[in-house]
Amino acid sequence: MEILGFALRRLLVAVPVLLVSTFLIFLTVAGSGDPLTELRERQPPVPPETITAEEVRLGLDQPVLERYGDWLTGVVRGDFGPSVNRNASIAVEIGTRLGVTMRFVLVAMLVAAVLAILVGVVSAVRQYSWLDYLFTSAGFLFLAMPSFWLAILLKQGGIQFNRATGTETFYMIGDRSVPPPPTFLAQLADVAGHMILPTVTLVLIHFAVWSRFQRSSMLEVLNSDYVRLATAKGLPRRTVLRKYALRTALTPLITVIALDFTAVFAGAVITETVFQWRGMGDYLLSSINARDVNAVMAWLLVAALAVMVFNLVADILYAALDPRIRHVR
Amino acid sequence: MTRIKGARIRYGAALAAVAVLAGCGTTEGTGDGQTVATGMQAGQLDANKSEVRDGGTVTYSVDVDVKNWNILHATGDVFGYRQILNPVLPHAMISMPDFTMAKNDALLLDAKVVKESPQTVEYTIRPEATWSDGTPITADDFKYTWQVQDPKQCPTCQPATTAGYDQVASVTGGDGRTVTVTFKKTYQPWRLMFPYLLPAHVAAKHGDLAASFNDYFTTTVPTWSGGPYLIEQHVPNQSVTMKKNPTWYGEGPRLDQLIFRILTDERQAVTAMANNEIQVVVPRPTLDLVEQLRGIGNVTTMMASGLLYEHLDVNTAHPALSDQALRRAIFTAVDRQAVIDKTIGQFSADTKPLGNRNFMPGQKLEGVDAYTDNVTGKGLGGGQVDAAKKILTDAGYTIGNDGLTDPKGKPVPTLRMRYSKGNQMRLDTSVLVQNQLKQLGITLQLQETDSLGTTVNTGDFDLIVFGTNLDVIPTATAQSVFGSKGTHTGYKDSELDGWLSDAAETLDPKQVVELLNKVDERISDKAVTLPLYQTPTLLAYRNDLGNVRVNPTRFGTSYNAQEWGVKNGG
Repeated sequence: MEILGFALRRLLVAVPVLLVSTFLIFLTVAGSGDPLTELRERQPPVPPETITAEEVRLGLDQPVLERYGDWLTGVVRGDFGPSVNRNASIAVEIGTRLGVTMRFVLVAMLVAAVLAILVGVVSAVRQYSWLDYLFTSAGFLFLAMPSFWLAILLKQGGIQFNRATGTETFYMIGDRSVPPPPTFLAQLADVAGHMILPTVTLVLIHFAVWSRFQRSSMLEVLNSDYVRLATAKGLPRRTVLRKYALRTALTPLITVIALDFTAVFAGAVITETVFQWRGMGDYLLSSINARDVNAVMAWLLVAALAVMVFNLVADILYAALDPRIRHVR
Repeated sequence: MTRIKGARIRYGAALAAVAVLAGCGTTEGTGDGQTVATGMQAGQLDANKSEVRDGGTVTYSVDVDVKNWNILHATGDVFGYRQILNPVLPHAMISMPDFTMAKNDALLLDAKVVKESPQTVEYTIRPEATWSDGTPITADDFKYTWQVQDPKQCPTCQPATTAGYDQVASVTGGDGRTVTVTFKKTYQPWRLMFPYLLPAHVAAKHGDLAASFNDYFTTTVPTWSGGPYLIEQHVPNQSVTMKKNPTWYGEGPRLDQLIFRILTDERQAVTAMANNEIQVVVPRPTLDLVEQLRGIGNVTTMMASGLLYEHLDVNTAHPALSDQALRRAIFTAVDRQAVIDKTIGQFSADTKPLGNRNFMPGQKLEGVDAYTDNVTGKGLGGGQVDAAKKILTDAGYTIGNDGLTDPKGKPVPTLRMRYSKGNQMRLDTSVLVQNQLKQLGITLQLQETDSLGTTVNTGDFDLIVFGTNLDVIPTATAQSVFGSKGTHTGYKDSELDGWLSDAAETLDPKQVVELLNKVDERISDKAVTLPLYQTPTLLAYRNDLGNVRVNPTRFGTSYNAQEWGVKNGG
């Protein structure tokens, strides 16, 4: 019950934050340019009646505050408003693209977390060994690499591999081949071939941060009094590491991973662009280019909700694991 | 499946380095196996003309997914959409790579003016021409296509253009296969009309003119075809897959499948081409992209000059710029070759300053040579700073340390030079012009605009650099750009209006060329706009593909998709 109350309090605080942020973002995006620029620039000119009809359809003939009011009441009813792309449904686009992005973001987070824990623990337990130096160097290398650069390098590697082996193992664009391969197994291999490189890009970037975090957390726990006492009492080393040290050292990492979800989501914008996945990142960029206010707002709303949810998850996890947090008033 | 995935690409380590360096803004190409058109010529009708075999799949990447399937609709008239729908819709007339407008021989036996007053054009449809459901292509399709683009026939339809269609008095069809189009008054660019036909029999099942045109055709993926290919599958945001139209009445098509793959970031075309995931791409040329595509061993790149040209315009309504001497001095001091060398010349070395605003070099209008340089000979755009200073001093201006002072002793104010936000080429051009005009004591303040159309149409500029896309027959565009009704520069000239009207209403191509060149010369004399250079069109395709070529007109590269195929022995 205490945790439930805590979660409700956090949610109530989040609602006004969300409202203010949508208002500010709406003003910013609506003021960023005219979505009908391309129509107005055409040669031969588009009939003025047609441009007026588009202005009315998109609500551009209304004051910006009224447009925000319409957008807000629409969103409450589940209507994200009209898109600049005349026949596109923003809700359908978001739904489809969210699925595409989550597919590789969740896999990437899971793999990166497992790798980070393994590498972090090994580095801490064997501090200053050659393994520790190797993992530390690799971690800093990937930390320093911009994701677009890493993605390009991986693409080049993929092409070289395909060429050397005469196979079609890795693909450079999209999340599947067109047309799809004829058999189910071939389709599975095809989806995997499209997924490996973008996923590895995200994994390497985030594994680097998280493994450093896990290493220092583990080192701190290993040097604590209760671990030293457990060792002094003659408990087996494996038991000390697994039951005493690792469980405690994982707590901060889980919180960091929950909070980092949005960073992974944001990092996927670049990865999706380089690998041409039609996910949320691609949608954000194309909507900004088209000055599609309603589409950008829908994207930001989903992103803001994701931030809120994962912050809440982080808070709840922390509160569940640390009683001091949930008793704070 | 005989997909073109023969021997894996020879893709050396050099390209890996190139692409990696591209991230840092530097490129280096190997140049293996490339065929690059030299100089900036129009596209060639016989470029890459080859014997091809039946079968195979080709993937052509385009930068947008179709969100409006009606390319005659205002929001459907997009280059990428045209690429996808060219092989599906029937065309009466097609704009060809050499800037001519030709009748589509697959659909028409003839298209000609049969009476001059009132102008009457007769189209004769081949008897074998049908839609994919077996319905004949007839005068009804011409009539529907006219009606939805004529605001009098359909006031609530939202077409991309009404040009020409609003001049039509009637469209009739005697035996259904002979279409007679009668105009209210002579309409010179009649050949630009009916580039696409919509199926009237399909429209009839979906409401009135406006309902079928604005709603049905815009939202529905065509299950019908009047062209060589039929849409088999559309995966939103991913691809459009086409198969042969079994009832196609022309020659070809040769490929089993034609796939349009959506690639929103053209920079990714390089690795996709190298990995053979796409085989044809028409990206906007940039230095990096051109070099990288040239670096792929088994890919051919072609560049041809297009109908899009960049120009520098002056707002003659500005108090200072209303003086012709000042405008002339500005255009005399601007060095167009220097602008080209620092911008487009980096990847298109043979680009020359453009000498005409209505016709492009090499362009012919119905066989009549149309291009004349009306700019260079008048001393404009040559970077002649001393001559520019003389124009100013002769007119009573003083060039001092504090800048330029007009004949009345008033300092010439700082002028606003506008350019499109995010367009590096136009920003670079603006900076160069700014530096060139400093020598005359003229200060330019550079201001970007994120709504070029509004900025131009409202005259919210002192000087501005942007591009104009001409039609292969430029009478209508010339009227909308230079005529008193459409002018954005504030320059009005009743004599020039008369020439434009005459050009729009005469069917003699020689006279049209003369009149439009008189207009062009007048614009040079009055120093209103300064043409800079033509923007090139870039095409990259796999070496083993035949009949894929640059078409730098509105139709684009897929204008002849039915001829595409794998070369014999390829």
